[in-house]
Amino acid sequence: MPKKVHHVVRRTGTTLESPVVEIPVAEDIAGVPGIPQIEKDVAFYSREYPLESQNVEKAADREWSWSVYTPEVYEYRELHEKANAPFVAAAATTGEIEPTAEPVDRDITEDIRRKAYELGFGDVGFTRYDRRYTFQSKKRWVKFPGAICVALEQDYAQTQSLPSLEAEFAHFGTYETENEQCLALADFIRSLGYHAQVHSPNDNSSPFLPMFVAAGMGQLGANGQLLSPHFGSRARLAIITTDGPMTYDEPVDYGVHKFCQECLVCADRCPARAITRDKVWYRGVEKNKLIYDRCRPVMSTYEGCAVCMKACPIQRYGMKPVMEHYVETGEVLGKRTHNLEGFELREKGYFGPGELPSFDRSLFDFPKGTKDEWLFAEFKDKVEDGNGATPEETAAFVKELRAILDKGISTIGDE
Amino acid sequence: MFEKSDLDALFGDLEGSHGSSEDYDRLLKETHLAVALSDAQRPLDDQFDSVVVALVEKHKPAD
Repeated sequence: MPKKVHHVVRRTGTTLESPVVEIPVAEDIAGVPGIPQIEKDVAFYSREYPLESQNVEKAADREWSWSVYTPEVYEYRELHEKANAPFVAAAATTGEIEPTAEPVDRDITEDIRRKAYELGFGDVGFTRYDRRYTFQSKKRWVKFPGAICVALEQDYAQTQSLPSLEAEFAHFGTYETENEQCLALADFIRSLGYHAQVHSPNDNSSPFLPMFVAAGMGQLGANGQLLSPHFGSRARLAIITTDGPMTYDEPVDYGVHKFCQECLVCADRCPARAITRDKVWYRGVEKNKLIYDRCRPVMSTYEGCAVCMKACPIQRYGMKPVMEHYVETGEVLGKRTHNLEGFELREKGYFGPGELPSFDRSLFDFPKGTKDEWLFAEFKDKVEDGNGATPEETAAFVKELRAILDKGISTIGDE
Repeated sequence: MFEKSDLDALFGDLEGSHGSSEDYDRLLKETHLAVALSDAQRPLDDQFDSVVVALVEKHKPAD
Protein backbone atom coordinates (compact mmCIF):
# COMPACT_ATOMS: atom_id res chain seq x y z
CA MET A 1 0.00 0.00 0.00
CA PRO A 2 1.45 3.41 -1.00
CA LYS A 3 2.67 5.67 1.78
CA LYS A 4 2.58 9.42 2.24
CA VAL A 5 5.93 11.16 2.00
CA HIS A 6 6.85 12.89 5.25
CA HIS A 7 9.94 14.68 3.94
CA VAL A 8 12.59 14.45 1.23
CA VAL A 9 16.29 14.35 2.12
CA ARG A 10 18.60 16.06 -0.37
CA ARG A 11 22.21 14.92 -0.13
CA THR A 12 25.21 15.94 -2.25
CA GLY A 13 26.53 13.25 -4.58
CA THR A 14 29.66 11.15 -4.28
CA THR A 15 31.83 13.53 -6.32
CA LEU A 16 31.91 17.30 -6.76
CA GLU A 17 30.17 16.89 -10.12
CA SER A 18 27.52 14.34 -9.09
CA PRO A 19 23.90 15.46 -8.93
CA VAL A 20 22.16 15.85 -5.57
CA VAL A 21 20.44 12.65 -4.44
CA GLU A 22 16.81 13.00 -3.33
CA ILE A 23 15.48 10.41 -0.90
CA PRO A 24 11.79 10.34 0.09
CA VAL A 25 11.04 9.32 3.67
CA ALA A 26 7.60 7.78 4.22
CA GLU A 27 5.39 9.16 6.97
CA ASP A 28 5.33 5.95 9.01
CA ILE A 29 9.11 5.65 9.21
CA ALA A 30 9.90 9.30 9.89
CA GLY A 31 11.65 9.65 13.21
CA VAL A 32 14.28 11.89 14.70
CA PRO A 33 17.39 13.24 13.00
CA GLY A 34 20.34 11.00 13.89
CA ILE A 35 19.34 8.44 16.50
CA PRO A 36 17.00 8.35 19.50
CA GLN A 37 19.16 8.89 22.57
CA ILE A 38 18.98 10.04 26.16
CA GLU A 39 21.78 12.55 26.53
CA LYS A 40 22.15 12.18 30.29
CA ASP A 41 22.47 8.40 29.97
CA VAL A 42 25.07 8.68 27.21
CA ALA A 43 27.00 11.09 29.46
CA PHE A 44 26.65 8.82 32.51
CA TYR A 45 27.96 5.71 30.78
CA SER A 46 30.72 7.70 29.13
CA ARG A 47 31.85 9.05 32.51
CA GLU A 48 31.44 5.95 34.69
CA TYR A 49 31.92 3.16 32.17
CA PRO A 50 34.07 4.56 29.36
CA LEU A 51 34.35 2.55 26.18
CA GLU A 52 37.48 0.65 25.35
CA SER A 53 38.88 -0.55 22.04
CA GLN A 54 37.99 -4.11 21.07
CA ASN A 55 41.69 -4.54 20.40
CA VAL A 56 42.23 -4.09 24.13
CA GLU A 57 39.20 -5.53 25.87
CA LYS A 58 38.75 -8.38 23.40
CA ALA A 59 42.44 -9.01 22.82
CA ALA A 60 42.16 -12.72 23.63
CA ASP A 61 39.82 -13.45 20.77
CA ARG A 62 41.67 -11.09 18.45
CA GLU A 63 44.70 -13.33 18.83
CA TRP A 64 42.61 -16.50 18.65
CA SER A 65 41.03 -15.38 15.35
CA TRP A 66 44.27 -16.03 13.52
CA SER A 67 44.09 -19.68 14.55
CA VAL A 68 40.79 -20.26 12.72
CA TYR A 69 41.53 -18.43 9.46
CA THR A 70 41.85 -20.51 6.33
CA PRO A 71 45.45 -20.61 5.03
CA GLU A 72 44.43 -18.20 2.24
CA VAL A 73 42.88 -15.67 4.62
CA TYR A 74 45.85 -16.01 6.98
CA GLU A 75 48.29 -15.31 4.18
CA TYR A 76 46.33 -12.32 2.93
CA ARG A 77 45.89 -10.87 6.44
CA GLU A 78 49.65 -11.04 6.93
CA LEU A 79 50.22 -9.20 3.67
CA HIS A 80 47.62 -6.60 4.62
CA GLU A 81 49.10 -6.02 8.09
CA LYS A 82 52.52 -5.51 6.52
CA ALA A 83 51.23 -3.10 3.87
CA ASN A 84 49.04 -1.19 6.29
CA ALA A 85 51.41 -0.90 9.25
CA PRO A 86 53.39 2.14 7.99
CA PHE A 87 50.14 4.10 7.46
CA VAL A 88 48.80 3.23 10.90
CA ALA A 89 52.12 4.13 12.52
CA ALA A 90 52.23 7.43 10.64
CA ALA A 91 48.67 8.30 11.68
CA ALA A 92 49.48 7.72 15.36
CA THR A 93 51.87 10.68 15.48
CA THR A 94 50.05 13.11 13.19
CA GLY A 95 48.74 15.10 16.15
CA GLU A 96 52.30 16.17 16.94
CA ILE A 97 53.01 17.64 13.52
CA GLU A 98 52.98 21.43 13.25
CA PRO A 99 51.14 23.26 10.43
CA THR A 100 53.26 24.05 7.39
CA ALA A 101 51.86 27.55 6.78
CA GLU A 102 50.35 30.49 8.60
CA PRO A 103 46.60 30.04 9.30
CA VAL A 104 44.42 31.20 6.39
CA ASP A 105 42.15 32.68 9.05
CA ARG A 106 38.79 31.79 7.49
CA ASP A 107 36.31 28.91 7.53
CA ILE A 108 38.04 25.97 5.84
CA THR A 109 35.05 23.62 5.55
CA GLU A 110 34.65 23.92 1.77
CA ASP A 111 38.41 23.69 1.16
CA ILE A 112 38.47 20.39 3.03
CA ARG A 113 35.32 19.09 1.37
CA ARG A 114 36.74 19.81 -2.09
CA LYS A 115 40.08 18.20 -1.26
CA ALA A 116 38.42 15.12 0.26
CA TYR A 117 36.44 14.49 -2.93
CA GLU A 118 39.56 15.09 -5.04
CA LEU A 119 41.39 12.46 -3.01
CA GLY A 120 38.61 9.97 -3.76
CA PHE A 121 36.43 9.94 -0.67
CA GLY A 122 32.77 9.38 -1.53
CA ASP A 123 31.33 11.44 1.29
CA VAL A 124 32.57 13.93 3.85
CA GLY A 125 30.93 15.62 6.84
CA PHE A 126 31.85 17.90 9.72
CA THR A 127 30.98 17.73 13.39
CA ARG A 128 32.33 18.22 16.89
CA TYR A 129 34.62 15.38 18.01
CA ASP A 130 32.41 13.61 20.54
CA ARG A 131 34.66 12.77 23.50
CA ARG A 132 31.88 10.80 25.17
CA TYR A 133 32.78 7.90 22.88
CA THR A 134 36.57 8.07 23.24
CA PHE A 135 38.20 4.80 24.26
CA GLN A 136 39.72 4.77 27.74
CA SER A 137 43.20 4.09 26.38
CA LYS A 138 42.93 6.94 23.84
CA LYS A 139 41.63 9.70 26.10
CA ARG A 140 44.96 11.51 26.24
CA TRP A 141 45.72 10.95 22.57
CA VAL A 142 42.86 12.96 21.02
CA LYS A 143 43.94 16.58 20.60
CA PHE A 144 41.59 18.72 18.52
CA PRO A 145 37.90 19.66 18.75
CA GLY A 146 36.61 19.45 15.18
CA ALA A 147 36.02 16.14 13.40
CA ILE A 148 36.11 15.64 9.64
CA CYS A 149 34.30 12.40 8.86
CA VAL A 150 35.34 10.70 5.63
CA ALA A 151 33.74 7.66 4.01
CA LEU A 152 35.34 5.49 1.36
CA GLU A 153 33.26 3.01 -0.60
CA GLN A 154 34.55 -0.53 -0.86
CA ASP A 155 34.25 -2.38 -4.15
CA TYR A 156 30.64 -3.22 -4.99
CA ALA A 157 31.18 -6.47 -6.86
CA GLN A 158 33.55 -7.92 -4.29
CA THR A 159 31.20 -6.96 -1.48
CA GLN A 160 28.36 -8.92 -3.06
CA SER A 161 30.54 -12.05 -2.89
CA LEU A 162 30.51 -12.02 0.93
CA PRO A 163 31.57 -14.09 2.78
CA SER A 164 34.69 -14.77 0.69
CA LEU A 165 38.39 -14.10 0.42
CA GLU A 166 37.57 -11.77 -2.46
CA ALA A 167 35.36 -9.70 -0.16
CA GLU A 168 38.20 -9.55 2.35
CA PHE A 169 40.34 -7.98 -0.39
CA ALA A 170 37.70 -5.24 -0.64
CA HIS A 171 37.43 -4.85 3.13
CA PHE A 172 41.11 -4.60 3.99
CA GLY A 173 42.24 -3.08 0.69
CA THR A 174 39.86 -0.17 1.26
CA TYR A 175 41.44 0.45 4.67
CA GLU A 176 44.90 0.66 3.08
CA THR A 177 43.68 3.22 0.55
CA GLU A 178 41.74 5.15 3.17
CA ASN A 179 44.71 5.45 5.54
CA GLU A 180 46.85 6.87 2.74
CA GLN A 181 44.13 9.32 1.69
CA CYS A 182 43.64 10.48 5.29
CA LEU A 183 47.34 11.24 5.65
CA ALA A 184 47.18 13.29 2.45
CA LEU A 185 44.10 15.18 3.65
CA ALA A 186 45.86 15.94 6.96
CA ASP A 187 48.84 17.32 5.00
CA PHE A 188 46.43 19.58 3.13
CA ILE A 189 44.88 20.88 6.36
CA ARG A 190 48.36 21.68 7.70
CA SER A 191 49.05 23.63 4.50
CA LEU A 192 46.07 25.83 5.45
CA GLY A 193 47.80 26.58 8.74
CA TYR A 194 46.03 24.21 11.15
CA HIS A 195 46.80 20.99 13.02
CA ALA A 196 45.34 17.71 11.79
CA GLN A 197 45.26 14.36 13.58
CA VAL A 198 44.42 11.21 11.63
CA HIS A 199 42.28 8.67 13.50
CA SER A 200 43.08 5.55 11.50
CA PRO A 201 40.27 3.05 10.94
CA ASN A 202 42.77 0.44 12.14
CA ASP A 203 43.69 2.23 15.36
CA ASN A 204 40.37 3.80 16.33
CA SER A 205 40.21 6.45 19.01
CA SER A 206 36.50 5.70 19.43
CA PRO A 207 33.64 4.17 17.48
CA PHE A 208 33.43 6.68 14.62
CA LEU A 209 29.84 5.90 13.67
CA PRO A 210 28.11 8.28 16.13
CA MET A 211 30.03 11.19 14.64
CA PHE A 212 29.06 10.20 11.11
CA VAL A 213 25.44 10.17 12.23
CA ALA A 214 25.89 13.58 13.91
CA ALA A 215 27.33 14.89 10.64
CA GLY A 216 24.24 13.73 8.71
CA MET A 217 26.12 11.12 6.68
CA GLY A 218 23.68 8.33 7.39
CA GLN A 219 22.02 6.54 10.29
CA LEU A 220 22.76 3.47 12.38
CA GLY A 221 21.33 0.35 10.74
CA ALA A 222 19.99 -2.70 12.55
CA ASN A 223 23.17 -4.47 11.44
CA GLY A 224 25.20 -2.07 13.58
CA GLN A 225 26.71 -0.35 10.54
CA LEU A 226 26.36 3.15 9.14
CA LEU A 227 23.74 3.13 6.40
CA SER A 228 25.00 5.81 4.08
CA PRO A 229 22.66 7.33 1.49
CA HIS A 230 25.32 6.52 -1.13
CA PHE A 231 26.85 3.20 -0.10
CA GLY A 232 24.56 1.71 2.49
CA SER A 233 26.81 -0.28 4.81
CA ARG A 234 29.53 -0.57 2.13
CA ALA A 235 31.59 2.34 3.47
CA ARG A 236 34.79 2.31 5.49
CA LEU A 237 34.99 5.14 7.98
CA ALA A 238 37.81 7.32 9.27
CA ILE A 239 38.06 10.72 10.89
CA ILE A 240 40.57 13.54 11.08
CA THR A 241 40.42 16.04 13.90
CA THR A 242 41.62 19.61 13.58
CA ASP A 243 41.74 22.98 15.32
CA GLY A 244 40.86 24.73 12.06
CA PRO A 245 37.61 26.77 11.85
CA MET A 246 34.80 24.69 10.34
CA THR A 247 31.02 24.79 10.02
CA TYR A 248 29.44 21.69 11.50
CA ASP A 249 26.72 19.67 9.78
CA GLU A 250 23.51 18.52 11.42
CA PRO A 251 22.13 14.99 11.84
CA VAL A 252 19.51 13.89 9.31
CA ASP A 253 16.47 11.62 9.47
CA TYR A 254 16.70 9.27 6.48
CA GLY A 255 13.98 7.07 8.01
CA VAL A 256 16.51 4.29 8.64
CA HIS A 257 15.78 3.85 12.34
CA LYS A 258 12.21 2.70 11.75
CA PHE A 259 12.74 1.28 8.27
CA CYS A 260 15.15 -1.29 9.69
CA GLN A 261 12.37 -2.60 11.96
CA GLU A 262 10.19 -3.12 8.87
CA CYS A 263 13.07 -4.91 7.15
CA LEU A 264 15.22 -6.87 9.63
CA VAL A 265 16.70 -8.94 6.80
CA CYS A 266 20.13 -8.64 8.46
CA ALA A 267 18.77 -10.11 11.70
CA ASP A 268 16.90 -12.85 9.85
CA ARG A 269 19.89 -13.81 7.73
CA CYS A 270 22.68 -13.56 10.31
CA PRO A 271 24.18 -17.08 10.31
CA ALA A 272 25.15 -16.66 13.98
CA ARG A 273 21.75 -15.25 15.07
CA ALA A 274 23.72 -12.39 16.61
CA ILE A 275 21.45 -9.38 15.91
CA THR A 276 18.53 -8.64 18.23
CA ARG A 277 15.25 -8.20 16.34
CA ASP A 278 13.91 -5.81 18.96
CA LYS A 279 15.64 -2.56 19.66
CA VAL A 280 17.03 -2.11 23.17
CA TRP A 281 18.33 0.92 25.04
CA TYR A 282 22.08 0.49 25.41
CA ARG A 283 24.36 3.12 26.91
CA GLY A 284 21.67 5.74 26.31
CA VAL A 285 21.02 4.90 22.66
CA GLU A 286 18.12 2.94 21.13
CA LYS A 287 19.43 0.29 18.79
CA ASN A 288 19.40 -3.31 17.66
CA LYS A 289 22.24 -4.78 19.70
CA LEU A 290 24.85 -7.04 18.22
CA ILE A 291 25.71 -10.02 20.43
CA TYR A 292 29.47 -10.08 20.13
CA ASP A 293 30.03 -13.58 21.47
CA ARG A 294 27.78 -15.04 18.78
CA CYS A 295 29.09 -12.88 15.93
CA ARG A 296 32.83 -13.15 16.53
CA PRO A 297 33.50 -16.87 16.05
CA VAL A 298 31.41 -17.06 12.87
CA MET A 299 33.01 -13.88 11.54
CA SER A 300 36.52 -15.16 12.21
CA THR A 301 35.92 -18.67 10.90
CA TYR A 302 34.00 -17.78 7.75
CA GLU A 303 36.05 -15.16 5.89
CA GLY A 304 34.77 -12.14 7.77
CA CYS A 305 31.13 -13.30 7.32
CA ALA A 306 29.39 -9.89 7.01
CA VAL A 307 26.20 -11.47 5.64
CA CYS A 308 24.49 -8.62 7.51
CA MET A 309 26.24 -6.17 5.19
CA LYS A 310 25.59 -8.17 2.04
CA ALA A 311 21.90 -8.74 2.79
CA CYS A 312 21.09 -5.12 3.63
CA PRO A 313 18.81 -3.85 0.83
CA ILE A 314 20.17 -0.33 1.26
CA GLN A 315 23.67 -1.69 0.62
CA ARG A 316 22.58 -3.87 -2.28
CA TYR A 317 20.21 -1.53 -4.15
CA GLY A 318 20.91 1.94 -2.75
CA MET A 319 18.94 4.02 -0.26
CA LYS A 320 17.04 6.03 -2.88
CA PRO A 321 15.39 3.13 -4.78
CA VAL A 322 14.71 1.26 -1.53
CA MET A 323 12.98 4.25 0.06
CA GLU A 324 11.10 5.06 -3.17
CA HIS A 325 9.89 1.45 -3.35
CA TYR A 326 8.76 1.63 0.27
CA VAL A 327 6.80 4.84 -0.41
CA GLU A 328 5.21 3.35 -3.53
CA THR A 329 4.35 -0.11 -2.17
CA GLY A 330 4.87 -0.20 1.59
CA GLU A 331 7.24 -3.14 1.04
CA VAL A 332 10.94 -3.75 1.57
CA LEU A 333 12.67 -4.19 -1.78
CA GLY A 334 14.24 -7.62 -2.11
CA LYS A 335 12.95 -9.04 1.15
CA ARG A 336 12.49 -12.83 1.04
CA THR A 337 14.16 -13.12 -2.38
CA HIS A 338 17.18 -15.23 -3.26
CA ASN A 339 18.80 -12.19 -4.86
CA LEU A 340 18.98 -10.32 -1.56
CA GLU A 341 18.93 -13.02 1.08
CA GLY A 342 20.83 -15.93 -0.46
CA PHE A 343 24.37 -16.60 0.71
CA GLU A 344 26.95 -19.37 0.70
CA LEU A 345 29.13 -20.42 3.58
CA ARG A 346 32.31 -22.42 3.03
CA GLU A 347 31.73 -26.15 3.60
CA LYS A 348 28.12 -25.44 4.59
CA GLY A 349 26.62 -24.70 1.20
CA TYR A 350 23.91 -22.33 -0.03
CA PHE A 351 21.18 -20.86 2.18
CA GLY A 352 18.16 -19.26 0.57
CA PRO A 353 15.40 -17.22 2.24
CA GLY A 354 14.22 -18.89 5.45
CA GLU A 355 17.24 -21.20 5.62
CA LEU A 356 20.15 -20.84 8.05
CA PRO A 357 23.21 -22.96 8.82
CA SER A 358 23.67 -24.72 12.12
CA PHE A 359 26.97 -24.87 13.97
CA ASP A 360 28.54 -27.15 16.49
CA ARG A 361 28.33 -25.67 19.98
CA SER A 362 32.13 -25.80 20.24
CA LEU A 363 32.40 -23.04 17.62
CA PHE A 364 31.19 -20.58 20.24
CA ASP A 365 33.70 -21.73 22.84
CA PHE A 366 36.53 -19.28 22.24
CA PRO A 367 38.84 -17.07 24.37
CA LYS A 368 37.03 -14.16 26.02
CA GLY A 369 38.18 -10.81 27.41
CA THR A 370 41.73 -9.52 27.57
CA LYS A 371 44.68 -11.87 27.23
CA ASP A 372 45.44 -11.80 30.97
CA GLU A 373 41.77 -12.34 31.85
CA TRP A 374 41.67 -15.39 29.60
CA LEU A 375 44.92 -16.70 31.03
CA PHE A 376 43.48 -16.34 34.55
CA ALA A 377 40.26 -18.07 33.51
CA GLU A 378 42.16 -21.05 32.10
CA PHE A 379 44.40 -21.26 35.16
CA LYS A 380 41.39 -21.08 37.46
CA ASP A 381 39.82 -24.01 35.61
CA LYS A 382 43.03 -25.94 36.15
CA VAL A 383 43.09 -25.16 39.89
CA GLU A 384 39.43 -26.09 40.28
CA ASP A 385 39.83 -29.29 38.32
CA GLY A 386 40.69 -32.13 40.71
CA ASN A 387 44.25 -31.93 41.99
CA GLY A 388 44.90 -28.26 41.15
CA ALA A 389 47.82 -26.87 39.22
CA THR A 390 51.26 -28.45 39.42
CA PRO A 391 54.29 -26.29 40.33
CA GLU A 392 55.33 -26.48 36.66
CA GLU A 393 51.90 -25.28 35.51
CA THR A 394 51.98 -22.46 38.05
CA ALA A 395 55.41 -21.39 36.87
CA ALA A 396 54.24 -21.47 33.25
CA PHE A 397 51.23 -19.37 34.18
CA VAL A 398 53.40 -16.74 35.88
CA LYS A 399 55.80 -16.69 32.94
CA GLU A 400 53.00 -16.19 30.43
CA LEU A 401 51.37 -13.50 32.56
CA ARG A 402 54.71 -11.70 32.76
CA ALA A 403 55.00 -11.82 28.97
CA ILE A 404 51.49 -10.38 28.53
CA LEU A 405 52.14 -7.57 31.02
CA ASP A 406 55.52 -6.77 29.46
CA LYS A 407 53.98 -6.55 26.01
CA GLY A 408 51.27 -4.18 27.24
CA ILE A 409 48.10 -3.26 25.37
CA SER A 410 47.69 -2.11 21.79
CA THR A 411 44.74 -0.40 20.17
CA ILE A 412 45.96 -1.28 16.68
CA GLY A 413 43.79 -3.65 14.67
CA ASP A 414 40.65 -3.83 12.62
CA GLU A 415 37.68 -2.65 14.73
CA MET B 1 10.93 -15.09 -8.14
CA PHE B 2 14.47 -15.52 -9.44
CA GLU B 3 15.85 -18.77 -7.98
CA LYS B 4 19.53 -19.31 -7.26
CA SER B 5 20.02 -21.12 -10.59
CA ASP B 6 18.46 -18.18 -12.50
CA LEU B 7 20.69 -15.73 -10.66
CA ASP B 8 23.84 -17.79 -11.24
CA ALA B 9 23.08 -17.93 -14.96
CA LEU B 10 22.20 -14.22 -15.18
CA PHE B 11 25.23 -12.92 -13.31
CA GLY B 12 27.47 -15.44 -15.07
CA ASP B 13 26.21 -14.05 -18.37
CA LEU B 14 26.84 -10.47 -17.25
CA GLU B 15 30.35 -11.22 -16.08
CA GLY B 16 31.11 -13.12 -19.27
CA SER B 17 29.99 -10.30 -21.52
CA HIS B 18 30.99 -7.24 -19.48
CA GLY B 19 33.27 -8.48 -16.67
CA SER B 20 36.29 -6.69 -18.08
CA SER B 21 34.42 -3.53 -19.03
CA GLU B 22 34.83 -0.27 -17.09
CA ASP B 23 31.04 -0.24 -16.84
CA TYR B 24 30.85 -3.58 -15.04
CA ASP B 25 30.35 -2.15 -11.56
CA ARG B 26 27.50 0.11 -12.72
CA LEU B 27 25.90 -2.68 -14.73
CA LEU B 28 26.15 -5.08 -11.79
CA LYS B 29 24.45 -2.59 -9.45
CA GLU B 30 21.73 -1.93 -12.01
CA THR B 31 21.20 -5.64 -12.58
CA HIS B 32 20.72 -6.35 -8.88
CA LEU B 33 18.18 -3.53 -8.68
CA ALA B 34 16.43 -4.69 -11.83
CA VAL B 35 16.13 -8.23 -10.47
CA ALA B 36 14.70 -6.91 -7.21
CA LEU B 37 12.11 -4.80 -9.04
CA SER B 38 11.27 -7.70 -11.30
CA ASP B 39 10.83 -9.96 -8.25
CA ALA B 40 8.49 -7.28 -6.86
CA GLN B 41 6.47 -7.31 -10.12
CA ARG B 42 7.55 -3.74 -10.87
CA PRO B 43 8.31 -2.53 -14.42
CA LEU B 44 11.85 -1.53 -15.39
CA ASP B 45 11.82 2.07 -16.52
CA ASP B 46 13.97 3.56 -19.28
CA GLN B 47 16.68 4.54 -16.81
CA PHE B 48 17.99 0.98 -16.94
CA ASP B 49 20.72 0.12 -19.40
CA SER B 50 19.43 -1.92 -22.32
CA VAL B 51 22.05 -4.59 -21.52
CA VAL B 52 20.49 -5.01 -18.07
CA VAL B 53 16.92 -5.10 -19.36
CA ALA B 54 17.81 -7.73 -21.96
CA LEU B 55 19.62 -9.92 -19.41
CA VAL B 56 16.81 -9.74 -16.90
CA GLU B 57 14.24 -10.59 -19.58
CA LYS B 58 16.38 -13.49 -20.79
CA HIS B 59 16.76 -15.12 -17.39
CA LYS B 60 13.47 -14.14 -15.82
CA PRO B 61 11.66 -17.25 -14.60
CA ALA B 62 8.32 -18.04 -16.17
CA ASP B 63 5.36 -17.14 -13.94
